[in-house]
Formats: sequence, structure tokens, C-alpha cells
Amino acid sequence: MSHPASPASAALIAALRHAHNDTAAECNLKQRVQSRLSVSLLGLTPTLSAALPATHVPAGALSKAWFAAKGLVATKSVVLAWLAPVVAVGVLTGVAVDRVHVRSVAPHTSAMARNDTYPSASVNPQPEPVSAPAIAPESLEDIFEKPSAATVSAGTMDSTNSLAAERRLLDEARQSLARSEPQSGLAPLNRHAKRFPTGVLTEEREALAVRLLAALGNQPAAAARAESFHRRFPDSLFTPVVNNAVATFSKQNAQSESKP
Amino acid sequence: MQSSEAIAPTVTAEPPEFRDLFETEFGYVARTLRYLGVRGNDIEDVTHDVFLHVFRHLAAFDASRPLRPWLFGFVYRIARDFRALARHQRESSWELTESRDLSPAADELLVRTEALTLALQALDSLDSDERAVFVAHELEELPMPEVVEALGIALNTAYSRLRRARAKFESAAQRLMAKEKYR
Repeated sequence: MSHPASPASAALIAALRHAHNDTAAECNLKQRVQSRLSVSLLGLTPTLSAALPATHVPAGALSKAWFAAKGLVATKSVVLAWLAPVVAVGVLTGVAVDRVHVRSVAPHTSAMARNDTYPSASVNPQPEPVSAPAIAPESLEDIFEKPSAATVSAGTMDSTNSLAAERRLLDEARQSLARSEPQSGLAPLNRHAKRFPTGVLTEEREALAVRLLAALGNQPAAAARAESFHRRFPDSLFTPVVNNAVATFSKQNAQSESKP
Repeated sequence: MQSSEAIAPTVTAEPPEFRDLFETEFGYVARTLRYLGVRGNDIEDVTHDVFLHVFRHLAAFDASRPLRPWLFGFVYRIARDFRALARHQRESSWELTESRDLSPAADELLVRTEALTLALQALDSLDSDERAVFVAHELEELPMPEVVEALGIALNTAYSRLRRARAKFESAAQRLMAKEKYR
């Protein structure tokens, strides 16, 4: 240090430079952050992630899959293979699990990795009929309207700001989906689209929008939204989730149509 | 690619894998956030946000450059934005519904010594811009050109902030140490 520091100041600077983290506290914090990142990045619902045994996460399948996914973005097929359990869980929570009220999710992450723990939910879904949404397509258009040019530029300037606010809005929407109340998820997504048209969590918002629209039974809107999602985010980790939301809906329709 | 968030990669070497970066730099990020004045349960929120940004921008990281100044840039900006948002929320009636239990764990991240407790108090006497330069240069020992780049400020500005920060830290240190002596 080139400037003269008094012994008092030098002692305190030394204390800061040599400070180290409490191992247990750092480990706990790290696990919580990791678990939340898997929610943010993979679209797991808070309901489900809250059910995860947070204290045992690092060795678990979830975190392994997650880290593998993050580290291997270059090789998509490997990512998807690694992600299979996580995506399955995401799909479950988004499309079927919450609706059939499977609330007590597997107590161990290792159990979560086994798709067969949840018979029929993702492979051969038998969900309850979706209640018809009391929302007209026009209002849905309005809800998911494209941001205006003015808000886009404001949003771009603001894009690194307020991530916490973005996250909260999307969490709100996710929770609605998890409670099987997709209607109430639209408002927070709409607010997010208006306030953060090009926000950091845009990709998550769009994926959630598809899931919400599918859950509301608005198949044309969900399909159109999914298509624009794929165009915009061709390599998204949410691709399987989005596809499954649309596919599950189509299957439901096919089933209900085939009934006499 | 329609996404306006896309960043043109200017990569000359392979960026590190995110999981490795998360493993090795988590402690650094959390500790630095604490030094920048983020505390309590906010550490968890902000650390999460930092790594989310890091994940999204990792492909654009030039691995031939040192990692820590690049990381510090995220840590600084997100801590700053978080503070601004928290202030905004306190001042407006607009409330985001979230009540998380207040565990002390996050603020006990650092192994506390008497000197460290005083040092953190002394840091609190700096304003946030001065504090960022002080933490980056004085504590993290990043060279000034890298500090300037990470914070996106001019070299002169950085030096004048550093000068003010040192003076304030110095007087806080003397005051706190004297108080401690005669307690």
C-alpha cells in the first residue's frame, strides 16, 4: 500500500483482507442460493423447491443435474439427458402435479430423480379436465400484449436493474400456477411484461406465459406463444417444459373429444 | 436471433464452467457483497441475482482476462441496484408481498473477530460509491485500471473516491479504536 495508513486503519484493513467465511454459514447460504437458482433457471415452482430437503441438496440428483446443465450449455443433448429428472419435475409441477394435488413430494432428491415415482404424470398424463377460463381471447391478448417501442427502450436501459422485483413478479405467477389458479398468474406476468419488457427474466416469463395459457385451456394462444418462444429462445432450457405444456393440452383435448 | 438481450461474444478463450465458477467464487461473492454493505437475508437474494447475471453473461466473458474484476462488476452493480430498489420500496407504498423468516445466518457469514466487527463499522462510514472503490482496490487488491473498468467510471473519479474513502475510513478507524480502548 503506497499511502500512509495509521496503525488503527491498517489493522482494520488487515482484518477485512484476512476475514474468512464461516464454513457452515457459507455452506448453508450456498445451498439456499443454489436451490433458488434452480427455480429461476429451470422454472421449478417454489412449492416444489420448498419441499426439497435443502440441507441435503449438494449431493442430490437435483443439484447434480442443475450444475451439469449449467456447465454443459454447449451440448444440448447432454444437458437434456442430465436435466431429465429436473425437467420431469418441472413439467409435473407445471402441468399435472399441482392439479392432482400431489403436494407431499418425495422426501429425498434421489427419489425425485426417478420418474416412476410419479406414475403417469409426465409419460401418460391423466389430468383432471381443465376448467374453462372465464377470460376472452381478447383480454388474453391484452394481458400478453407486445410491449411498445417506448417501454422497450426504457426497459433496455433498465435491464440490469430491479432483478429482485422481476423475480418477485414471476414467483407470484409461478405460485398461482402451483395453486392451480392460473388466472391470478396473468396479472403479475402482465406487470412484468410492462415494467421489464426486455428484463433479465424475459425467457422465464415467456415460458411461464405458455404454461399459464395452457393451464387456462387457451390452446391457440398457448401454441402461438410457444412458437414465438421457440423462435426467440431456440436453445432455451425451458424448451421441454414449454413443449410439454402444449403437448399435454393437446392430449387432453384429444381424450375429451374421443369420449362419446 | 431476435432477443435484444443477446450479447455478441468477444471470447478469445473458453469461459469457465458455471458450476466450477459457482463452487469456487461463491464465498468471494458473498463476502464482497457483505463488504459493500448488503447484509442479513438480503445477502441470499443478492447472491442469487449476481449468479443469475453471471450465468447469463458467462459466454461473453473473455477468459484471457482475470475473473475477479469481471465478477466484481456484477457484484457492485447488483448490490447498488438492490439498495436502490430497497430504498424505493421503503419510500413508496408499493409492497411486494414477501415475508421471509429473518434468520441471522446470513449476517454471520464471516468469522467475527473484534477487529473485523470494528472494520465493518468503519466501512459503514463510507458512501456507497466510495465504498465500492475502497473494497475493490484496498481490500480485494484489484489494480486501479481494473477497478475503473469493473465500475465503469473514469480513472480520476476512481482516484478521488479512493482518496475520500481512505480519509473517512482512517478517521472512523481511529475513532472506533479509541472508543474500544477506553470502553
